[in-house]
Amino acid sequence: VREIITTLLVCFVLAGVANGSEPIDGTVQARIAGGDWRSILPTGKGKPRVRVAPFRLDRTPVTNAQFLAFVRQNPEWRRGQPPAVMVDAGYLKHWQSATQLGLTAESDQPVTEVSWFAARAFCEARGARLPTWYEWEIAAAADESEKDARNRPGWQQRILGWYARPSSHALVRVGTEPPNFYGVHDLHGLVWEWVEDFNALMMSGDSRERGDPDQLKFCGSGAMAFEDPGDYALAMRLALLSSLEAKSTTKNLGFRCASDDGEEGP
Amino acid sequence: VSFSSQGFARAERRRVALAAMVQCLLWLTASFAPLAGAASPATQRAIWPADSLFHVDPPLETAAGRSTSFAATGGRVQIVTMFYASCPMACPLTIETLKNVEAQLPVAERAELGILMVSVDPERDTPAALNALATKRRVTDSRWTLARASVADTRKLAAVLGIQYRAMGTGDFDHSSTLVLLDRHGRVLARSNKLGVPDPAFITTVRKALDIQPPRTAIEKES
Repeated sequence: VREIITTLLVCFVLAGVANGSEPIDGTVQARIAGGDWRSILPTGKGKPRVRVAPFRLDRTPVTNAQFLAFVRQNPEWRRGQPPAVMVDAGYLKHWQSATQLGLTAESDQPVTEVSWFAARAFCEARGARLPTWYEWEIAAAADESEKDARNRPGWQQRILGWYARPSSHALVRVGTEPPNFYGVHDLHGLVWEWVEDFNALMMSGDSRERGDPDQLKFCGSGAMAFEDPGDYALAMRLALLSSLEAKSTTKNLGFRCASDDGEEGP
Repeated sequence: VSFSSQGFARAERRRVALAAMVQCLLWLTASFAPLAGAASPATQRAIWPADSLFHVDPPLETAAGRSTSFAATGGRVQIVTMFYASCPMACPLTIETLKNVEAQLPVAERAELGILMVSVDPERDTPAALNALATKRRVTDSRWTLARASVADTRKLAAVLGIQYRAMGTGDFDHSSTLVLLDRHGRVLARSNKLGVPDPAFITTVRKALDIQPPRTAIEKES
């Protein structure tokens, strides 16, 4: 019997290694109900709200340690490996080596210097995906006590206060800030985050383009107008996201993963 | 405990062990199968230059219902753009612009230029819908490929092409109507957002790209 158990154990280990799909530890997701959402993004005529299905969102951004575990299992995502169309020259440049964090990147800090392709591959390997803009927006509209704090006095100022902070400071570890209504940390105040449809935001950022023949660059009516132009904090985030290419990396840009609700959490 | 029952127990144990090993072999085979599958894009990857868009290689389904992939459309100079079949204005205009590009090329060059249009609305743009559009807009020549990818791969393809799109929730999409000129290795040679009469500089680049093509035999050797 011992032989059989040993055989089976070896077998399981081998199968696990071969699959390369062992879940990365330390990831907990919050459930978020979704529903009819009034987004900052312009929606179709006569449709002021969009329907968002229930989803799960990582409570914290992905850390250096978690991303390290991923590249150890997936050598094609180690620094120096992905083709230039998937990551720019800054990819994981703050790590000591392709498979070591070193002193400049702490385990519990959010991983940054990752491209959209790399972030997406990480989530896929975990059986998850990147959140959509709407999902991120819903989660990020909550403060500690309310689902939608966007119109609360002081909310805007709080977020803008973070944007005004110099980015030369070292990033603190994830989960330091108190969780919001859903139990999600660090949606504001730590890093910018990739979303699945970062290339859906279509912000020209320049109103001079209106009425220009070049506006046909976008096939559609609402491409350049905000629903709520007073929401500067979100507008800034959109401007940042829409200035990125899928291969871009920056020292303040990280990500977290999401899943459809109803699936088994990764 | 009789001798025979001990023998029976041993035989039973051996049988179970054997079954376990067979099961193990099956699991291992199943586990490594995806790896074997993944090996082919990896081998192919080495062929493309580092800045080739073909490193992102989603499967495509064409208007003819044929299965292909983004990288498989390479090996020739091509213009790639994204659209959706029910688009009221800019997309018919995109097709007209592409026809205008073709019209400005000598026949011999025209035959060498591929045109790939990928839908941003894969759920509605079935091969039948794409085929109907190709017939309606008279772009049924084999130089033209109208295709769709999975929903997730459509986002990925747009990302690598630098094209933006978003569903408006009404069945309409906002999207950039960019024409991307690729060389036969999938490297970006030029981009144009000008609709209607094509940008002369873009046409010049298209002609130059077609002109510098090595003889056909050299292409075939490489692919």
